[in-house]
Amino acid sequence: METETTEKIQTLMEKDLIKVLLVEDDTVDSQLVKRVLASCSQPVEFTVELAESLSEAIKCIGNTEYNIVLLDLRLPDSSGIDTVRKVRKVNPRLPIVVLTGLDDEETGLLAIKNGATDYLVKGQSLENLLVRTILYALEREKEKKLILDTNRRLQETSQELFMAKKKLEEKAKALQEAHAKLELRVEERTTELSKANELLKKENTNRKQAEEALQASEANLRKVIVTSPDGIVIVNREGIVQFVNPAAESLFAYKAEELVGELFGFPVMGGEVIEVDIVNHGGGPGIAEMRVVETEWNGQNAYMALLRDITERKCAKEQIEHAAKEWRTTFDSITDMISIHDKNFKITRVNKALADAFKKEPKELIGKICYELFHGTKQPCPNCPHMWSLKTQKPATLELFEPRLGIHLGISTSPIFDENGEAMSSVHIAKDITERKLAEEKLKEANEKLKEYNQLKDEFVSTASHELRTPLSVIMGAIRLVLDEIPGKIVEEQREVLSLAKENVQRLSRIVDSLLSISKIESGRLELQKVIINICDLIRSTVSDYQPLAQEKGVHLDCEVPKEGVNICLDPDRIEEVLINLISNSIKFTTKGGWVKVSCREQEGEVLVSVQDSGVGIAKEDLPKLFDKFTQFGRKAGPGEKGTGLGLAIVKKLVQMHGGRIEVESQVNEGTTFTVSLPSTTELEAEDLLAETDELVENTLADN
Amino acid sequence: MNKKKILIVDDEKDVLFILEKELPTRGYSVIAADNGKDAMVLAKTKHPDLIILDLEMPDTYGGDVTRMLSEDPETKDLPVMFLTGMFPKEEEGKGGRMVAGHVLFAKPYDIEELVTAIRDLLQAEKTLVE
Repeated sequence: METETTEKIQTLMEKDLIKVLLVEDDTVDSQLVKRVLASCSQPVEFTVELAESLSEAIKCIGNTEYNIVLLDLRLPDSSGIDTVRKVRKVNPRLPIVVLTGLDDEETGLLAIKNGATDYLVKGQSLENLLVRTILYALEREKEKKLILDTNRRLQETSQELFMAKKKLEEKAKALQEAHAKLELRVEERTTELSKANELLKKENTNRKQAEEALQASEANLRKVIVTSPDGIVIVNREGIVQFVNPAAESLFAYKAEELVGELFGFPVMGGEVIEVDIVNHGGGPGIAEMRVVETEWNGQNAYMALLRDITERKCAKEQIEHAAKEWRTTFDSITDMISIHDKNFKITRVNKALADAFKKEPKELIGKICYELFHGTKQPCPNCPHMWSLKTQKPATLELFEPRLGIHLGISTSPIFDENGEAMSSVHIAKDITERKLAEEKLKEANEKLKEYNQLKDEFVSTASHELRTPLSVIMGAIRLVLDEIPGKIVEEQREVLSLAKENVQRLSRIVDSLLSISKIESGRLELQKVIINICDLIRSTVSDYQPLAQEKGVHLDCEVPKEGVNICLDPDRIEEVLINLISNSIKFTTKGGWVKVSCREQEGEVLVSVQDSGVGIAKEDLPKLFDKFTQFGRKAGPGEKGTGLGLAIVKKLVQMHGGRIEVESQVNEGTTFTVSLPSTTELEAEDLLAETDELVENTLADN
Repeated sequence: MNKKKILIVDDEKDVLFILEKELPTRGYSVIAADNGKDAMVLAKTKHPDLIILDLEMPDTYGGDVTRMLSEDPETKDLPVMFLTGMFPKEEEGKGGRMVAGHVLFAKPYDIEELVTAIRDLLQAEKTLVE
């Protein structure tokens, strides 16, 4: 280390003379310093200036450039650390070596902290240390300066570098921006280009389409001309044919090449329409309508003749005329009076029959108001069917008597619809229905009379039976009295004769009763008193009533009904009457040893009651008339009551009144089965009826 | 035991003739009237046990007689039976038909049924009185 320092000191000394400012008020000390420096063995030369106070020192520093200051801290005008600060203030760069007392090393260290470069303790081998300290201080100052310079340069370089970097960044940014702009421009340009390209394509397509359209249009035009059903001929001013289309070829029956270049032969004048002879498509003579217009052909004025075959149209016109005539004839041939009326009741058309009825010509009636003409009134009829038809758009009818003509008219009107589907007028057909009307009236009268007669008959039957009853009752009583021998004893033969009389009186009574019964049913005066009952009970009780009669006749009478019973809604008195009739009939027509069976079953919504016997049976031809009134056949009845001829008629009617029906099957000598079918009573109906009955009972109870 | 007395009212004398003969053979005594007025008088003076009425008579309708009887305190409890030719036998039912509380019999009557009905009616009356 030492050798290194020495080398450095040597370099210093070779080059420099060291100017020292010694700030020291102690002369001993200053002399010592001067001496030490003067006797320096080092190859450096010191010049020492002395300042004895701080103010003097500051003055010296201001005037002269020193290499180093040796500063005593105890001066007459300053002391301590403050002295260092003050000197530093004057020259911040000047190296300061503080000279301190022997016992004051701390002050030295403090001085260094406050800007001193180094310190020396006075009297402590000052001679050895002084020079070295000075040289070190100088060297340190020099290095410090170097460091500072280097630092400064470094800072400057760093600054420059920073600036350069900044500039670089700016440039990069600018470059980037420029790049982005460029890209944008490129993109814009690309878009423009592709647009232009598309436009070009489109234009191309358009042009192509236009060309195609033009071609198509030309083709179409050609097609139009070629396929035109009208003949087209171009003729020049000289009347020479220039062009002929296929329609024209066939109209004239010549080929185009045969016609072109030839004289047309028909007068051609612009705007004129004439009829020309042609060959029609059938090959026969025809007529064409020719229309000429002026045109151009190959740049020259020319005429175009348009020819239309009107042969058919001419025919059609004739046909229409014929049809119209035919229609008119037909219209006038109808004997009904027909007219057509508009919505203002004005007559627009009439047929001959109508005109004849008014002894006028048809045209004289047209324009007249219908109600004024037909009915002689100032107002439409109150129930005018014409008005009704227009209002409802539907046909209407009315029958009325026309006093001025003395006839009954049946009028029917039907709306006539215009092209908008609105009925603006109607066709009014009046028919003389006097005869029918009279016939109807007669029929009505006859019907009324018939009704009256029927009622009279009912009344008669009813009254007659009333009137018959009392005498019957007397005759019966009288016979009974005699038979009971009240007036006196009778012999057996008399009894037999009287018994015959008695039987027939009884029979007569039954006939009277049946007559009254059937008359009541037929006139609808009989009302059913329906209740819900178990029909099986009714059958059982009726059968048991007839057991004695059956036993008497030797007929086995049996009853076969479901145990659980069948509830049904009916009038028990009437159904009992039915059962009595059927059972007594069967017993009557069954011979000894035979049987009669009454059964009941429910089947498909019906209750079937059958009365079957093994009796004589009924001939097939008699079956259809079986239920008619007063029909008695040759069924050979055994002894007992004779029939009235009304029983089955009453039975049928009573069953029908219940909504049922009766059927019969029979085989001669084998037996007969009567089957009565009555509609079942559903639970719902039964409930309703029960509720009704309950209500009735309640009301009756409440009333009482 | 006293015979029950029955008043028969009918404008047909023949009917009366027969019943006057028939009913006594069945143990009843009979009085008769051929019109409504006489019937009222007899009903009040002779105190019959039962009355058999014809419904249709020239001077009075049977129903009116019933009304008059029921309105009179002396006769209001007298049982009434109708004997009429006004409805068919079929409608009568067994042993007569009850109409407004009265037994209805159709002509021509069966004497046995009539007598049964008379007996029943009198029996019912007796029960009612007791």
